[in-house]
Amino acid sequence: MAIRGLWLISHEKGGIGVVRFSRRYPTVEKRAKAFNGDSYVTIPEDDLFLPALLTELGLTDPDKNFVEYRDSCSRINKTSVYALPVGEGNLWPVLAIPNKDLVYVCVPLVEQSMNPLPPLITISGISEAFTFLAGLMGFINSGQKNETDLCAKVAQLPVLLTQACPLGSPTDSNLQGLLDSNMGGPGNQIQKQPAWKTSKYKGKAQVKVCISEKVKCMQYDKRDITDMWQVHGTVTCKCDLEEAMPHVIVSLNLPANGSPLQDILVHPCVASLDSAVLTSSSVDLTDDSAFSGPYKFPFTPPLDWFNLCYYTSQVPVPPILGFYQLQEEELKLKITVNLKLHESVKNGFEYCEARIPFFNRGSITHFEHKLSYGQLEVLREKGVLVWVIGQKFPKSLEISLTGTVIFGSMSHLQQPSNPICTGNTAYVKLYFRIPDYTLSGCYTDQHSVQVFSSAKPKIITSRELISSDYYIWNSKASAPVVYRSPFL
Amino acid sequence: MVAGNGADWGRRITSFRFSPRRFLSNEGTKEFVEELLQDLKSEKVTEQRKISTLTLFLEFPLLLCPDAESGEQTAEILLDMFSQTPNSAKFLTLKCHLLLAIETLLISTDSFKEDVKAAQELLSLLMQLASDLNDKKQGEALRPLRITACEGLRELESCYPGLLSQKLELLYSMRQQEMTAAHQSYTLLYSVALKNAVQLLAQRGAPTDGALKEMISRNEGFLWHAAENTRGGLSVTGEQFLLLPANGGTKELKSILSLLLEDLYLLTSVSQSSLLWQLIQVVAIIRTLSPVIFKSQLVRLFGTMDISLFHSILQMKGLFTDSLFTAEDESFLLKRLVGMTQHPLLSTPVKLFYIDCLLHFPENRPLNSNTEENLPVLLSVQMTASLFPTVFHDNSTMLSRQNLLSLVYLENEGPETERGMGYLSEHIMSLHAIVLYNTNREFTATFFRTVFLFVRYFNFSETLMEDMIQKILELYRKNAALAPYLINLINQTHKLLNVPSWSIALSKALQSLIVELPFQRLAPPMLHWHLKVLARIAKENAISQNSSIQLLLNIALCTDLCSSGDWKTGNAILSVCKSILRHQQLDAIFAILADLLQYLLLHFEDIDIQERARFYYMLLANLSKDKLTTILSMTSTVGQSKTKTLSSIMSEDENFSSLMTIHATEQPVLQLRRLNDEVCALPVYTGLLSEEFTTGCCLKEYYEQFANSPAPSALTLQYLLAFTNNVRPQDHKLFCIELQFEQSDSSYEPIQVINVPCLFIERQPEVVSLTLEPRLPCPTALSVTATYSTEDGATYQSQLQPLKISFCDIFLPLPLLTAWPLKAQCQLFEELWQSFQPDTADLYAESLFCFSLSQQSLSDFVHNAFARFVVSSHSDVYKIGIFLLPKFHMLMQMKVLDDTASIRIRTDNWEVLPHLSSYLKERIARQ
Repeated sequence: MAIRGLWLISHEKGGIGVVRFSRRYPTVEKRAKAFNGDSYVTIPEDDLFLPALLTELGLTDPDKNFVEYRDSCSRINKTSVYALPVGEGNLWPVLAIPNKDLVYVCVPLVEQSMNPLPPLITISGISEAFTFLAGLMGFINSGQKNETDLCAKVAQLPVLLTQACPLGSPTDSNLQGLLDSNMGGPGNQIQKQPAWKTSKYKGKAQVKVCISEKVKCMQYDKRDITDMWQVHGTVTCKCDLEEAMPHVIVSLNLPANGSPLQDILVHPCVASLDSAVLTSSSVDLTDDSAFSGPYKFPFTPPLDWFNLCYYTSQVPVPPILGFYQLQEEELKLKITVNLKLHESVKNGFEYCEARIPFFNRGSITHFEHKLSYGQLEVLREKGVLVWVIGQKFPKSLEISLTGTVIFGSMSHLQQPSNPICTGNTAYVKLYFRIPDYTLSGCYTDQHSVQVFSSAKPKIITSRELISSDYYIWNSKASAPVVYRSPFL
Repeated sequence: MVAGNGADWGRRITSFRFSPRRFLSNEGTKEFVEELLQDLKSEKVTEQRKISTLTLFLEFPLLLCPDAESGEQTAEILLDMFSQTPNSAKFLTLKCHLLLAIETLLISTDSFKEDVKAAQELLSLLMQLASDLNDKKQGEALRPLRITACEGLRELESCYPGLLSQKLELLYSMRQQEMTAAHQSYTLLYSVALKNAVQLLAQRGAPTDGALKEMISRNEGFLWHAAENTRGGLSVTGEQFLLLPANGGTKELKSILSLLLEDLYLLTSVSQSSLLWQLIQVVAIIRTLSPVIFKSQLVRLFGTMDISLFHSILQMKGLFTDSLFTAEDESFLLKRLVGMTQHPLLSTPVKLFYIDCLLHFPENRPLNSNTEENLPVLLSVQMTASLFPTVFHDNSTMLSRQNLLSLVYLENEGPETERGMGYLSEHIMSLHAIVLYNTNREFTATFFRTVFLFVRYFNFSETLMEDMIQKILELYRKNAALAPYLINLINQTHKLLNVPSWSIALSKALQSLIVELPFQRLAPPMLHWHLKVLARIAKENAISQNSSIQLLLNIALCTDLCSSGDWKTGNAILSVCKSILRHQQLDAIFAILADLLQYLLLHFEDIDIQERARFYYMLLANLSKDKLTTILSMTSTVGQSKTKTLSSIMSEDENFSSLMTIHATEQPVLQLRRLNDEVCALPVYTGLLSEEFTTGCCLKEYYEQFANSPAPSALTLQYLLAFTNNVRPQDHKLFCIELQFEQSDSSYEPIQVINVPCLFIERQPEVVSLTLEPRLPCPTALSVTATYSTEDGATYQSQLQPLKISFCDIFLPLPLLTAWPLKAQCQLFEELWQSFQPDTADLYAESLFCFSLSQQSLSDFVHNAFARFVVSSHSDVYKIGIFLLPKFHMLMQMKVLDDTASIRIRTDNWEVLPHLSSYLKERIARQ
């Protein structure tokens, strides 16, 4: 389990790449030679590594229509692991993860012969490589997103890596934590200190737990297509406690008749888990599990904000139901949007708006409309209508918008375009946030958080529901279908 | 101290890192290393820069210190530096880097050996640093140095397995006592040492019962040569050496392992998975140690969001199968894994990894054990119900999900499977709709990959395959620029399936589409795409090419294609023809293809295209199918082999080098013999002059005929081309004989070569006509070379005897106009004689030649010498008129008096006189 090399590459559109940072581990390379035998391939120098990587990722020649090496139909990448052709053979496995304008690359050690190529699951270092790159990504992405900040962070990397991965075997992937560390505690404790707790906290004791649920939705308003919605939630936690090893138990509760939380994934600091918590899964078609909470998570917290657990939930209805009709009449578009808040959902938003984009048509010159509620904003150049609904729905919980849109001349350079929305395929996208509410009903409160600590900490809990990818499709034209079950 | 400020130095380091070899070949390794070491020793250099310098040694040790000796020396220098740097927090990072650099240098340059002083020093230094438990001596501030020392020891143990195998007791006690966060490093160090020690013990075979216990509780020296007796690198897979100690012997080890597992949660997640991996291997080797030890960790690991911990559980599944996992556990784990592949909160690369793990899932009862993708038996259609690809996914997710679902549907049957496959097709149709209306390259490439996968798995279903073809045709109809993708698809599916019927069906359908297009759609640039596709289709000899050729012929005839003469278009058409010539049975399409090629070679307004069309036409018309194929297959190789094949095809002989050269013969094989033709062809002058002959205008008209007529001033001599004596049997049949004539002077126009198709020794010699165009009337000698081929295909060149053209050969009678009667000759002679007065022009000359001759012999003499040229001969005076090309005359009057013949000569070119006198002398000698 070790890493042969690590790279951070920035890539501009146009195929020019720059190696921002690279680190090689020669002692691991020596072991690779012994393990791989005849199938050993040396890692080339950066000036050869970079173009080989960019070519393999298909990032070169962006203007050329068809390049056999890049576009051949038999060249199918099913994972993020690539084989780079370098000199005498193919360098494999090269894990390359693009993220924003950067590509994070890592080559783990394979402790066996690579002829034939072993399945990824048998390579012990592969998951280590994933985790380490994720840590690196987290470090680079924290903070400002500009060039100077990036340079500063890259400059800090060499020393950080000497701590986190001195000779090729990573000991810690939380680079940000290492940066903030101030040595933990003195050595004469009775209890062993956790290795991932790199500093101490001094101050008022408090525990914050936040449940953030996101709801995805695809509504079609068609008889033969099922609407789809999905809820997933993240419980984040921050424990400001002075003890070195406090124990905390957070319980998540569901209301009576609430659908159980499914696909629960917990943070490594969670010491133990009741197996009943894991029984409910979205893979099962019908949920036989009788268990619906409370979900207890005992853990020893790290210092900063961390994701305690993830879950998904199948709720009976989406929060906002609606339909969208768009028809073309001569050169005008007639639209109708109708939205209804479900009565079981809390009618109190931090913000709620519907964006109605028009692609491949040019800029909006004129919009005649009739609005039953809210305010309308027309972004002409971008070809988008923004319907600001505000903080709450009216008493009837139902609102509608009708209107006619007229477009101006199309200058192809500025035209907003979308490959999926051609013809009359169009959508309305909702953006909203409801504080102090979750769709699954999941909640936690002061009584559900137990802290075994000398000081009595203040417990702050919160929850929220945020929309993510909430689409309502035009029912008068074809729409790309997302969820299908052969069993409905 | 290195010259240059920070930025400069930074740039040098960057250029070194980017391409170290090039940098060092420019700068010199020794010098650069000297420079770096000086920097390190200097006090003026900042610590940050020193750390950067040390990182260079850390990353490129072999380039900077290519051999063991330099590695040792540099390590010793760095060790010195380490001991001289004070032990304060200020120099902490520097000291850590020094340690790491020293270790890396020694390991990489193979200098970490017992007899190397630096190695011994390093090892003892590391142990010393690591022994300061709980920061007692050095204090909290220097804890990172201690951790670095532990990591150093761990890496040493990994590179030299068994080095610390005799110190397990010490390492364990250190680990137990350490309470600070540094215990992680001690734990990891111990785990690696323990695993290596157990492996070593197993490899040595049949240990005694107490060996394990002894091993754990030993505290002796370092085992320098541990790994030397074993195979280099104790690999994980491959032969597993096993230990089977009695149950009692494992008691201590079991308790150690349990303790280690209890504290697992205190480690970072990567360290946890690393520790688990070492412990898994230990348990795998010691068969009497049950994997049930790990059971307590399982629930936690089942539910983890961390990829390295989840991977540990998959590794446990692979190694322990049903010793640790019951059938329910297996099904539960599989379900968890499927859930992970579609979990909305995991990143895409992680989910793709999990799909790959799913296809290589280690089952308790696997059906086969290859390294390819296998569907786990327990994976049902229901379980994958939410794994449909959609157009909102990224390309890799779409393709990997499609791949997985295809495998699932192949293994299962039933209505759900049918519906599932229908949904997959719908997904492809959504992609199709996107590609239809967009030129988005990513979507296009993904669409074709999706089709490729679909065809690969479902080519047994005719309806689905037919649908796919129709959809592809629809795309192509709208946008012919997709041609390269289609050709690539045809090529790849052709290779893929055992019976490439689908790619042939697609090709046929494309052909029908293209040949039915109206002419407006067949203009360049779209035309080029269509032709490219047709060229690919032409490679399938199962598909008749009649319609393709007909289409090409139509566009050639009916559009302005040929007259516009665009080379690219012509080239594209010829590629189709070439494909056809190479791959197809030509009988059915012979005529139409020949028509097309002929039309192109006659009418296409580009020389290169015409030439190539002619070449193909000739190949088509003259060669058999096999030869055609062979010639046209040699396109990509260099010219040499092409000509090789050409000549070997002609003679069907492997010995091509002899066929390549023209051999020179030593003896002449052929000869030319003058055919004394009495009636030789006379140049005919056609004049437009009067029919009537009147004395007055005789000379004037006579001269006019030269000016007016376009007749060639040439004369033809006939020769017989025959064999010489003593001809070799292989030369008895000669073919393609070419006679080349070379003159030594320029008195004649260059003589055309004479071609004789064949000459056989048993047949008549050939008559060849040599056409001479004199510029000046004089005899000459021509050197004649004959080039010919013999029956065995070899080519020879033979020098014939030089051909003498003597003066008398070029004699011609006075050219009379056709309309004049013969008696006009006398009149002409008289008039010419009068006009050739020497004074009137420079070239005119008169001469007198006398020799002894009797009266009786005169007529014989004249007859022999000037037979055809006698104009009149009465009263014993012979008047002889000779015409010499280009336009000269010799007039002679001969008579005998007193046994002396006298010849009065008048000519309009005095230069002929010497030749005439030689001729006369020769004639006289012959009497």
